[in-house]
Amino acid sequence: MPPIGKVRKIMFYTVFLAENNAFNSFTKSFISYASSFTLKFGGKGSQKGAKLKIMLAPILIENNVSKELIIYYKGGKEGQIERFIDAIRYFRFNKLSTISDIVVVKGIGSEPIREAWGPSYLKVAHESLKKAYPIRKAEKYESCCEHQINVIGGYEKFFSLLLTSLLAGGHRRGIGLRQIAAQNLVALLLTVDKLDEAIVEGVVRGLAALVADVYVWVPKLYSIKKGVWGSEIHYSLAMFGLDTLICWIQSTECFTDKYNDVLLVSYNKLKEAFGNLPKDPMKLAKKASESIKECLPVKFRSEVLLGYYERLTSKLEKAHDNVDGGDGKILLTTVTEQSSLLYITTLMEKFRFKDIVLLYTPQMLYERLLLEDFLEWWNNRRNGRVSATFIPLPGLDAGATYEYVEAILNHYSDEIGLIVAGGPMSLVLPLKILPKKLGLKAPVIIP
Amino acid sequence: MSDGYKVSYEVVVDKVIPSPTIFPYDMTYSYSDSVREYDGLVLATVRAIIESTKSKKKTVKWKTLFFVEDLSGNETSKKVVDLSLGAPEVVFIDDGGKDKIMDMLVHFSFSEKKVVEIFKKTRVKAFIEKYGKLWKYTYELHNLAFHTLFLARSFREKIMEDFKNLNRILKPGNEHLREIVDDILGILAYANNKRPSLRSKDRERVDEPKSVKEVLDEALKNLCRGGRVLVLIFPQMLREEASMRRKWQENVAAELVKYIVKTVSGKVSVRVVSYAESIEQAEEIKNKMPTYLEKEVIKEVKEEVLMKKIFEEIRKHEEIIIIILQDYSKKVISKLLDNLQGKRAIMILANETTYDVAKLPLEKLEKDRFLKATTVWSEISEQTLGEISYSKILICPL
Repeated sequence: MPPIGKVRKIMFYTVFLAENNAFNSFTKSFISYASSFTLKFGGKGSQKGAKLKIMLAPILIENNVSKELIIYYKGGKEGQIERFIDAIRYFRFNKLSTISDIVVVKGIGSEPIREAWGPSYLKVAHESLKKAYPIRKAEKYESCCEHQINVIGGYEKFFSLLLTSLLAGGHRRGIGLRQIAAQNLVALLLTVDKLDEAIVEGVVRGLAALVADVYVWVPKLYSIKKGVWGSEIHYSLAMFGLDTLICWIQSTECFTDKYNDVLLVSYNKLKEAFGNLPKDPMKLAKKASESIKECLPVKFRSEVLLGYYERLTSKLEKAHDNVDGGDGKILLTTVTEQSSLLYITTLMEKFRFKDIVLLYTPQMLYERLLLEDFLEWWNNRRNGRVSATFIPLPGLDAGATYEYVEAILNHYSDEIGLIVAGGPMSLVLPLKILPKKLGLKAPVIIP
Repeated sequence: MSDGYKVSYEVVVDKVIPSPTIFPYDMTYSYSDSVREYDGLVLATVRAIIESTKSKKKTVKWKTLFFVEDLSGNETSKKVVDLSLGAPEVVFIDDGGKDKIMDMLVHFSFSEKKVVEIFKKTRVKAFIEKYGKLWKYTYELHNLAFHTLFLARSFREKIMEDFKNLNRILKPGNEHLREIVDDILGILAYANNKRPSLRSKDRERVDEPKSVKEVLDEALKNLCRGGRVLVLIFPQMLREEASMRRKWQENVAAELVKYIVKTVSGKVSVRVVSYAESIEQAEEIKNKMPTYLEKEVIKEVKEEVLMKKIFEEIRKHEEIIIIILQDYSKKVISKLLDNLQGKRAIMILANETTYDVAKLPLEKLEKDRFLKATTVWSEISEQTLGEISYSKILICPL
């Protein structure tokens, strides 16, 4: 059970705690992800003594769901935290950012606001006066329950993505982001030879936060804001049972209690499941997915966060004998809304591919950039084992997509050892039809 | 020059891209309208001439680009949209008799009048014609490139590398595909202040694309030899009752089938394949078909039983036409493609959203200056099949 604060107040706050050097990398990658890669912060160097605490909790105000974000900070380079806070505020209104404008930024700093003539504090005071952003003292929140996630040095990206996904709305990309964040957290466990308890704890807490968010907060949002979900979310994101989930949440008197219950139960189940970790990614994901299903009030054919990965890997098992992943062979696949580090590395490692060609449509621009960011991290840890080539293609103009895919298959020809085709039908169909026409031997898997 | 330096600027507009329209890439399926449409994207070379009392005259050159918005009415609210988007720099031109620029690029200091002059000079027919042709093939990759202009530089450079990857793959014979990628590489080179690739020159070698009708006629001619024709329709399952999207599916299916019946010589049967929850929707599509046709709904929840029923139908016919409307269970389609039992077949995939160039007479385009990118398929008929580019729909012999 996660440590509970002094007094149980209303709700669990998911708390991200980034200290010292983790502070810098965590805020930098968060800015890139949350801004949909429109911003990139520079800055290197030690952040000794720096402390960033981000508290996040769903709130219900007059039957309207929101999320409250409280930011505390201490130390750090002058100006860095201000940039971070300013950016979050800006993301709420930026049409290109994934961050939802139902995120309410409520607190700034645990340190007293200094005199206005102190240059680095001028802006805070100025904004507070002009825009009436509430500046509250930290003591007010100290008595609430905390589900604390420590941002671990070297793994900051994983937690930045987790925070970004928890701040995203209930739109299609927002759900996709939560799926990628969950799968990447599972992948994190595979990158360390000797697991230390802190890492497992971080992953379990991160997954539990996502479970509560996807299975309680998102349905609550859908039940109130009708029209934000429809066929696209229902069918494309494996949310089978969404109707039942919405009915359940509508019949629930206290939504915050349900949120807390699911958070606690899923934390305990996942902690139990990860007590003895299998090193095989498929078994690991399956174990996590089954644990999640066990703690939910609704029966799901396919679990939302890790279900897509499970479906893919069950097909990979069957295709194993036909796949030639030897030297000089490449894996050709597509970037989809669920293309995670776990997904790609499973493919690469299972069939011993070193080179991968990833086709993506403009709709997958975000996922493409995110995937490369994590692959670069993976290569740094594993001494450059994955060489990825990204190729953009149209996705809506099905005839044009077919022609581009034909040119690509002709170019790589027999170098292709395996084709894994997911995503839009306009991309899947040529990848299914053309290899046979062109006489390619590579098997085609459609997850 | 008493203080030592005098800097003057010259700008040469190398290219104007008419009407770059930004469609949010992550909302394509649910809300396909554009978030912003600019009047032009200007690719320019800037020369700074530095004169000094102490040294020789120096010239520094760099590439740049900026959007242009020509204010024709009360459009200043667009400025707010640009701010919320974090847009690259936008020059607002108010030429209501005074050629006065409302907003100026901060890092240039050439005269306002000069910008208006050079911009107007380059609004030529050739650019409109060129992009009119290119975008009939596909606008999406340009949309991606325009989006890329909003990204941080290091990410923008990654996307430029991706386009270079695609460029390397395209061989002679795919001129229209190469032309699109070349053009985009040219834009991204300006955005990243890099030298445009040698191939990114304006060449007028792209032909008007064939129409859907032309390609469909050819495919049907090769497919049909007087045998019994089975049209299998796979509609995307949509939950919203009586929605515009359902209507779109009904119309597209009906019009395509009408055209097929008119073109082929053999007897045509239609089966609308309903999987899981789409039964009511499939009935609606069936009811839209011409009354004289032999038509049925194949409905089944279990996949194996559904596949068995589809294969039974295939066995009874010689020629198969598969129509997918937007999306369907990929597992079902994959099994179908693996088990066509040696029958002659064609695949048609129609996407609900796609961007097209507005059909305006050139004179009007010139007067209004720019092209428009819009969604198509809102109304489909034999006439529109003859107007829409083949690249908007997949028609592929199997």
